[in-house]
Amino acid sequence: MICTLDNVAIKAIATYVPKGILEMDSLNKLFGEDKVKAIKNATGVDRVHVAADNETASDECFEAAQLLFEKEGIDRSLIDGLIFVSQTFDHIAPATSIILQGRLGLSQDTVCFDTSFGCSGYINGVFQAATLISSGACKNVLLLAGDTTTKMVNKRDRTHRMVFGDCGSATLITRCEGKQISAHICSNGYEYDTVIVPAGGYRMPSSEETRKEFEDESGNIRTLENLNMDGDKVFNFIVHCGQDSIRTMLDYKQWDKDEVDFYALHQATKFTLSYLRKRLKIDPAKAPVNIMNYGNTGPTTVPLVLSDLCYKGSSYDTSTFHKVIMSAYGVGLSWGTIACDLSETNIYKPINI
Amino acid sequence: MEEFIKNFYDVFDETDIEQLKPETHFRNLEEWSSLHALATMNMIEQFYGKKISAEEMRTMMTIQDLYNIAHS
Repeated sequence: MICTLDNVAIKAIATYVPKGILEMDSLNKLFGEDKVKAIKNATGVDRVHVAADNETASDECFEAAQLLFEKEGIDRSLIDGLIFVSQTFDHIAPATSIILQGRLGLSQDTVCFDTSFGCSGYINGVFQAATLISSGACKNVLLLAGDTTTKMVNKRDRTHRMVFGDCGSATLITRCEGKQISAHICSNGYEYDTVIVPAGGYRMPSSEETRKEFEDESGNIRTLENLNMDGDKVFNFIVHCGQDSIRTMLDYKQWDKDEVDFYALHQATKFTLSYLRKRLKIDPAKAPVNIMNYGNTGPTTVPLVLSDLCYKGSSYDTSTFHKVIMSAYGVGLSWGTIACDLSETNIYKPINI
Repeated sequence: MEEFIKNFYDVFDETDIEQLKPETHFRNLEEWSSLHALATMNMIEQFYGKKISAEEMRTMMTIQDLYNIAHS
């Protein structure tokens, strides 16, 4: 599906990374120095931020939202929509978005949604927020996207442990006459098990069996309650669907790839992003890799690349960001691209950086 | 062959195009990894319409081998 939503814009973006840091070099003993070095070369990840045991995705997003309220001087009572995008919710029930509505002191007239998406989640979240506003239902929507993926990964599973990091984000999306957000949104349920946490839901409830560790053919150790992905399939999926979605959006907007001011792309691994860029023949300076200090932070890679590199006072002049492409792909499988104008968006530096 | 080498070169980040000759044993290149194998398979499928399996890929040794399968 591809569409344009009118009279809506992204007003502000903030992110939060947990204080805890895992240095990949500290895993030399556990996984072997050669293996660690080879994986670091391919992923581009030197370190990731790790949430504390008692810190959840909603805590990360709460901090990012508090920063937005403080910096933007927004009247909390004017927020009328809240979308929480994650794969790591606080409870089985109730919805984490509603818990956040209470914690943030928002009006009881706020419409709240939990959206279950991972790496592609920011794109879906912006789309949902934009539909709420463009339809006239809401005027100020808070999009909170975050994950604590490190908690889903087995500590002895090197391919996953050396890629994923934790992060939360808050984005304010508001009514803005004359501005537009375009969205291309896709999913593929035929391949739902490509990236999966098999057990712990109701299809395969948690049991002694699902908590048993086993070793896969690559020597990674995990349980059925841990995150697992088919790396080869994921690579092909990203290169194929990522390229297709970005090209579809450029055609739809009738933008030349070189007139786009900035590409905020999902940071899966350095290798994947760099290969995708080459296939699309886009200027690497306009589509930066931002994975070294954070890893793949799931639904926050897109806001994090903006927040970490393009914050007010950084070397990027975001007042020139009239044509911005955001694109992400992940668990579902699901993927999509947003085209929007960020020239008047306030972007804040990540908390704890 | 020149065009094929250019497309193959795009799979790499740190390898010089001068290092890529038809007779080059690409597995000996310092940068080569399993991810490069995936990207190479993807490149051949996208540009030459040939889907090669992981098993077939494992038998490829030189750039000439890759060129041959892409044009078979």
